[in-house]
Amino acid sequence: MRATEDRQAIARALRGSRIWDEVVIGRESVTVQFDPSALGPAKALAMLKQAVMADINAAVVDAPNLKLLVRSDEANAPDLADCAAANNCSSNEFLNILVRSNLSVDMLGFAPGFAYLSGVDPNLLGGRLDHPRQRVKAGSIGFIKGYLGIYALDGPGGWPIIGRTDAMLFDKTARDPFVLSPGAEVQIEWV
Amino acid sequence: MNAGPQATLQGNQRAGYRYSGIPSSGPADPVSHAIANHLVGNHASTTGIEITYGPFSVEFQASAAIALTGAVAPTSLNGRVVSFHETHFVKQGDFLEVGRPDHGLRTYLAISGGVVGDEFLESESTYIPAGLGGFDGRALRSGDVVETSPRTKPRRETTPETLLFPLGNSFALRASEGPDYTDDCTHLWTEQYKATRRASRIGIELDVAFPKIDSIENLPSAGIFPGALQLPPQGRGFLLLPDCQTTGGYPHILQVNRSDRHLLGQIRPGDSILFLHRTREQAADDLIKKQKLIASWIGGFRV
Repeated sequence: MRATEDRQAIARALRGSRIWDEVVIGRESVTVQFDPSALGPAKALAMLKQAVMADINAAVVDAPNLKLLVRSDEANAPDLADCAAANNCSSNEFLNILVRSNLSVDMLGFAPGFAYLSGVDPNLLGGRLDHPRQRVKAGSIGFIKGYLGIYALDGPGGWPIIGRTDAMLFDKTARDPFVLSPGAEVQIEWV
Repeated sequence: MNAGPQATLQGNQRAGYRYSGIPSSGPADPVSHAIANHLVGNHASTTGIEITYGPFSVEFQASAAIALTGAVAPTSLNGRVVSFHETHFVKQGDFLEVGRPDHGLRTYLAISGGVVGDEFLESESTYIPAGLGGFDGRALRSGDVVETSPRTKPRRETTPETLLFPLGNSFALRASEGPDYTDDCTHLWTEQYKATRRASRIGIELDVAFPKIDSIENLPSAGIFPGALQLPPQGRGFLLLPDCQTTGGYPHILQVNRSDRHLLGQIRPGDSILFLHRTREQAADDLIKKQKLIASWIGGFRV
């Protein structure tokens, strides 16, 4: 289950079957949770294998597209200059490479609504901060080689921050409280 | 009220949202929580107060039935000793004081009708790291006033002896091999581990003697659940509780089975832990047996 699309389609199909208590997308995996007192482990494994072998394409729906307006001034992008310098380019060049990338939400995890976006030009290098921040503002966008990470809520984090969006990424009262969902295609525009 | 180190509102698990990064939360010891609720005539997952290592005190402003379960602590009502695992009736002005438990970590206080918390995704359980649910998404503080829902007076009840899970300083937890278990891990089943001071609703750190697994560093993040034993690079195991992250990249070497996961909420720093090796089929049988035992008193109960 290596390819991004496969994981999204498999997860959608598994969720749609209403058999599993939780369906979680990982970087290279889909994990399910079930109640072994209601569904025995052997039967669960058989059903899972069957679901993965089935025609998963039938479950594919159009992923929602989303455009995010992102600020990249010093206050909203404290690590942008460092990230650009590490790649021997200017901040503007660094941002333009991101704009040209085909970004999509690969998975959510780490914190509520925290989105991992894949599709970033693999030539851009960068790792975690040596000293994670105690508090990163909601809407902040981090960069680590191959990925952008978007914080839906305020929280601690070790991603170098290269921008921030004002878009409401979290609505406590909505049925699905997070705007970004696995499979969504995201376009970034700098303001 | 006086809330002590950490008291939170906990009710049902926030189920079905892990794909959005939202953990289940809910009581760290859901069996004790359910028993307390049953003693006051509530549904097993009604919202109550999870008290971590006292001292906790509360003055009641209305009549209600209450019950205490979990870590047994010296407790008094208007200065007179109050027993655990029994229904008590309180009236306006009554003062309940819960001290520090000798064993175990979390004491559960249920109030007839249930405590009213903020609802988020069909659950009132508090998730402190993101400030969701509960009482403004935070732990209770001295001076807070919590509301309860009205409810008719229940019968006086006592927990059946078969449902008392006595707590000591050591825990034997039935567990199965995790997805990253290797041949290097066999001594997990004979070693005795100790809980360090790093213990919260997110997880418990275990000290010493974990296997070094060279082959599986830098794993891609994958779904992870309460009960998992992760092995971060510094070599100290981390056992996950209900507020744990939904994905993780550390080796997941062992999984404490659902039948015994309620005990994780009672492990305190310094307690010793032994893992008992079970196959997946045995794990399912253990769960069915324990659920049957509890459901004989609390109809339909699921861990």
